[in-house]
Amino acid sequence: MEITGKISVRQTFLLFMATLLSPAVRLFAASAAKEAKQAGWLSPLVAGIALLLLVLIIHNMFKKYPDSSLADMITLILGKPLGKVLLVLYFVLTTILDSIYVQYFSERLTISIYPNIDLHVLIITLIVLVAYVLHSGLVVLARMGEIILPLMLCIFVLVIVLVFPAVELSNLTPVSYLDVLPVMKGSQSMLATFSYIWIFFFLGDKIAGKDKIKKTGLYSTALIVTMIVAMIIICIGSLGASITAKMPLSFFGASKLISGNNILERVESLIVAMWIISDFITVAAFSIVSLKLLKDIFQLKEFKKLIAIYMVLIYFIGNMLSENVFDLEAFSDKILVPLNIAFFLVVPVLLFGVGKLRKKI
Amino acid sequence: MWYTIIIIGAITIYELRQFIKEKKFKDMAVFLLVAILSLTLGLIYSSDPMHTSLSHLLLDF
Repeated sequence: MEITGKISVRQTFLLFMATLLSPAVRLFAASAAKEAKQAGWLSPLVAGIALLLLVLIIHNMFKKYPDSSLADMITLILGKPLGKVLLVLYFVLTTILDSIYVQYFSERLTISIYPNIDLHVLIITLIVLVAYVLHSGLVVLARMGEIILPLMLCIFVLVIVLVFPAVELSNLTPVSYLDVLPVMKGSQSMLATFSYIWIFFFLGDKIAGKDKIKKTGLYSTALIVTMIVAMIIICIGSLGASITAKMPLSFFGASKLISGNNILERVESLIVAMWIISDFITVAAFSIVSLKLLKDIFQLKEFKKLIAIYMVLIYFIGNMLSENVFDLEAFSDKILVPLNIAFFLVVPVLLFGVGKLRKKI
Repeated sequence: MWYTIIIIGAITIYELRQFIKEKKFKDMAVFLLVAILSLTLGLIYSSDPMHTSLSHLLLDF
């Protein structure tokens, strides 16, 4: 698809935040509580620092080449052959992530609200809808994110405020210097997810006003870290660290504690709506990035005609990757988290270093 | 299995007509690459949907 029009840096960060909501509900509280126990609510601060570093790297990279994409810069820094190899690896990883999110979407819906529905029905519905939106282009997706994300944040804040009375301070303390290493270990899943911001800048040539990356990135990081800390506080604070660590959807579980004297009940359905939208935006955004990478690797004129066949590919990769939700979680924890950190956090730092040494940036 | 072949075949025929009409042969080659990959994975998956998953194999390895 020849992406018509450009999106703003603000819209890019809004899309990025929308992609964080789904793993936040699924993963963050459980992984932080598992490693850092009662101090798990400090883990987002570590991941926040890494996100800030990544934002600064992206800002500096685009300062010299405001009209390029990351793909152009990678080939410029590493040279064409090595650059193309890295871009192919990024394409493979983004495609796998895309497939995994499609699988997570269906698995979570069957676990939480549709236990008797065939997974394939949910997967095919999502894939067809995403393909339809992709035909409309990046601008439509960004505007969709711009409208939907504030609503999602409202739901998030509402749940946090309503669960807050159930938080017990004893579940969140004591915290001492002995928690430093566990807190860092607990931030791994957040690091892996926060680093998705790198993926979005593969669309760099379709993002306008890149001089605002630093400012928007700082505000977004502050908002993201605050929201995730609050979410983990209500999960660990209300359920306790051991239950949060063992619960597959702890934020969803914590939201079930909300009870307003029979006036306000079943608020968890709002969370289901939130993560369905988040998964949809994630799959759509990652598909656009993957197709854009394919376009950059082979220097194609457009990628609109690849959308349908790419979505079929996503469907089969997802099905072949996992048999059940336990497979998915093990694959995410043991393979994808380290790969994400390596490719979306360590490689950017190295690229920036090499670029500076070779005076390309 | 037949569903896989029919769906991928239908998409391929539809898009190939467009590529040929617009003379975008490089784009067509990439499309065929993705189509062949999809078909291969589709046939492997359809032949045994209860297969051992790739993640299982990777984690065992």
